[in-house]
Amino acid sequence: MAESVSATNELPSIPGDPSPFVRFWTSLRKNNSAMTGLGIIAVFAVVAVFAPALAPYDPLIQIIGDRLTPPLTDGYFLGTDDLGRDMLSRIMYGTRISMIIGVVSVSIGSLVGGLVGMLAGYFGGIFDRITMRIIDIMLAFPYILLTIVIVALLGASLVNAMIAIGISQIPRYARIMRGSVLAEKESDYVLAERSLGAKDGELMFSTILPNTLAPMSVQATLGIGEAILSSAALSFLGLGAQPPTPEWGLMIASSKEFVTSAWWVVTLPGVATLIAVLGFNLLGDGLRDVLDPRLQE
Amino acid sequence: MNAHESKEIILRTKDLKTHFTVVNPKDGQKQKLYAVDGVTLSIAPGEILGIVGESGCGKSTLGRTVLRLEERTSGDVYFREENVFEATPERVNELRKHVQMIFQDPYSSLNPRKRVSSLLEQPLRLHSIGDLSDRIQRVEALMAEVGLDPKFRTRFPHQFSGGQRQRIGIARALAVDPELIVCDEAVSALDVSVQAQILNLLADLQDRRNLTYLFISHDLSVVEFIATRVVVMYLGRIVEEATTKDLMAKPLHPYTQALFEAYPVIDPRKRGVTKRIVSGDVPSPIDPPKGCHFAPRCPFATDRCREAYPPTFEPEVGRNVACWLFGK
Amino acid sequence: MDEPLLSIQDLKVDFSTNRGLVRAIRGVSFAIRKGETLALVGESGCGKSVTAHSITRLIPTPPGRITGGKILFEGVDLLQIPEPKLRDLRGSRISMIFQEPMTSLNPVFPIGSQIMDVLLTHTKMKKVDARAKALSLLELVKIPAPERRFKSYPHQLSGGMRQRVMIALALASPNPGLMIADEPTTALDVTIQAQILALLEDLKEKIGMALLLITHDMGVVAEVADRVAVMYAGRVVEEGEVFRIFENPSHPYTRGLLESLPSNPLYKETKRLKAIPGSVPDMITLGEGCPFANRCPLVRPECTLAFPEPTTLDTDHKVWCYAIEEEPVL
Repeated sequence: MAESVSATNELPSIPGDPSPFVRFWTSLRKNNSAMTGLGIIAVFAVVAVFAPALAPYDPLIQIIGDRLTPPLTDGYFLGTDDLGRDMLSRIMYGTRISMIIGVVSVSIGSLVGGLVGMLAGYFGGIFDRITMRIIDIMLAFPYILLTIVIVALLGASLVNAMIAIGISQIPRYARIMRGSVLAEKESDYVLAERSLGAKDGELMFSTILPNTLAPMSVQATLGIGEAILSSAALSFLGLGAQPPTPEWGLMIASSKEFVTSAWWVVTLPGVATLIAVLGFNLLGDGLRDVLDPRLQE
Repeated sequence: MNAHESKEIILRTKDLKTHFTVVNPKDGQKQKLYAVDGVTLSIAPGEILGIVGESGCGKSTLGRTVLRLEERTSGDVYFREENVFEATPERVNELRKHVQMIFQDPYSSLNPRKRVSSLLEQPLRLHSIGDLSDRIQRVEALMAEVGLDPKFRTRFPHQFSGGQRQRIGIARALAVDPELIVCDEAVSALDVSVQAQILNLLADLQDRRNLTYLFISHDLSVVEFIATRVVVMYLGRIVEEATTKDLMAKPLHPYTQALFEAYPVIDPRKRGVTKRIVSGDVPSPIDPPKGCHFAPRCPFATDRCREAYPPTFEPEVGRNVACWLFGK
Repeated sequence: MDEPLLSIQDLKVDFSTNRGLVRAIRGVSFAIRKGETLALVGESGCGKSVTAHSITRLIPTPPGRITGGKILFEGVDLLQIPEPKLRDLRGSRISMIFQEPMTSLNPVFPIGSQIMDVLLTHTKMKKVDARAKALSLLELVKIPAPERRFKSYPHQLSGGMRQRVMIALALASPNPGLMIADEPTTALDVTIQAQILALLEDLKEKIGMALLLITHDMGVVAEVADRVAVMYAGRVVEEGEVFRIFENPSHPYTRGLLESLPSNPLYKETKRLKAIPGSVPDMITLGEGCPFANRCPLVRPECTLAFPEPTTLDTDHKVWCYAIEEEPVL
């Protein structure tokens, strides 16, 4: 008897086998697309946080005499806009706004959507059927149209734009969460913890939730990129940030008549948007590759 | 000794039925799946009752229904004469302190995101056993008891081999100090050499803690080794019940005989000898054959077998067979 | 000894994983003669499936890579011939059946037409003849009512029936030489397993093809094998005629494997099994020595240094173990 019990105390696994997080990080580091995306995001994040220290000028100060100065002229690295405001400083402050919009609206969308999806998937039944029909209806609207309708109802402002983008992102998180919960809830380990006496709340949030975070985080990363793009679009249409806020979409909109004479006033905020969105998309795709269970070992 | 006649009974089921509604993918019609279809059995304390059968015979559903992890359709389950299906949810959770389960797949039955310590601490916490430092001590003691070095308590399930994971699963079931453990194919996913370790461990634990097992397996040799009494199931029903010794010496039901004959003999010199292989597939539990479910494959089937499901006969003391061949 | 049909010589296969290089097959050699059944037996992860898949070069590359050795089929090295030629051989002279037939049958075509397809690719048969031949194959593998089953889709069949269809597909070629069966009965119930094993046995006699049976189940080995190669952690540790392996197991691992079977009559009374202590080594950190050394009751210092050369005990019974000279035949 002693033999059978003591016999297996050597682990076949490697000594110091890393935790799941370390394993995740190791494989993420080998993923070029994810690391490029992460690098871009890191640069934008630093700029966003330290904008007041990094920006050479106040983004709102108008030096009318210097209006429409081209890039690399008179100490304006990226030139000035039609009101003589420093483009570089405005783009830097714009980074701040875009990052906040991205994070806040995705937080709204994923928290509400995740909760709805969790409850619908876990309990099923009538609640599931009703919420999923509502979600279907929301998905039947084109995404940007839905956002515009919500902003129209709430009133045009930056905060309302964030809320609207958040709400229109709810369906995707709800669906992804519901799908993952449906798959996880039938698995043996959930059944095992139920047989130990775990209650619904614990099963949902401490047992199932951590195992659904992989697809959710991929979607959230892609969602931030999309939210930045949507907010630029809303501001461009006059439904988001209001002048003189240095928001990328608004910057393009307010100087669009100069597009032929001063290319930089329109192009540069556009390029900033493009690079930021690209960063999140690259990271999202990379995460998907790394987190895909089929590619693990 | 026959458990039916002994006074003390830890768990019994009475005409237990668990049916599922499944949707036919072809026409969207709802159909009934008769997973467990009228099972009456009882287990005495300290006994190891083996449940044998092929896929679709309902043995796993039976195990889950006994723990009320599935809802019954009709019939009852009594734990120490308390009706499990009439208990309040709180009481069911309390009962789960007494009845535990070990699962088949040591890979899927452990939450991949929890460390061993929290996997083993969870049942203690759920049943409010001890304070935190108490529980940490208990976790270490449990690990040692199932043959795992407590220094591995901070590891994740994927860092262990299949056999070691099954030891974690066993430790988790033991954490609340249960009286009865349902072992659902507990060694089926393991390699033979590791399977032997785990079977020994289960046998040791049973001795030491005076546990009762409901041991579900498709593997005759495993059940023969560990069980004191065996129930053979076919399509949701018990076809034969006997002590392991009696059953192995002389299987009575034609299905039990077929099962025994089909089981490979570990002796190449005996291959092919007296092999009588039963033909046909196991019918679906969605639409079980009328009459005796085994009749379409049974070499002894008569018209009566095809018409009516046989009652249980007792051709010898302590042996139950649901087969018309043994009717007077 | 006559010329073997298939001869594997010093096969080596590596897999690169996140954690490092896994040397999954570390120099495996064995041979199969015409019409013979060789069982390649071992526990999960021992490399038996990788070996089988190397024969038809069906190892996913990357991460897998055959790094050495020869696989001679009728004298031709399968590792050297170009892909199209190999593809020809795969359908006609070498066929494979797998544990889960559902994954290897096309779900959107009826089984009859799938068999006809194979016939039409590998022979110059007319469609009518192919149909007749397909029907006769379904009959050969004892599918009841073949006319009706001809138009069935894979999902309409039971697991056992699907495995029969797979076997029919494998036999569809004009001149089957070798069938590789990778755990063909593992997913099946024991009564169905008995049917399939009986069918394979029957077909082998009728057609005279050789069978390479990959299995973890010593019971299945005892039922159908002529010869046995026991694998452990990427090595063959013992090889021989089936009676020798079961009656005179000579490698400590083979012995341990047979002794740990619960059906062993040894345990009728004792109620404790003789388990092999410990678990399979990690293939990444495993060194050059005998892979069984860490669990072996007869381990010696030299075991951890280098893998032993084979000792021939008898005609056709080889064992790779240092302890063999001192451990007389039981």
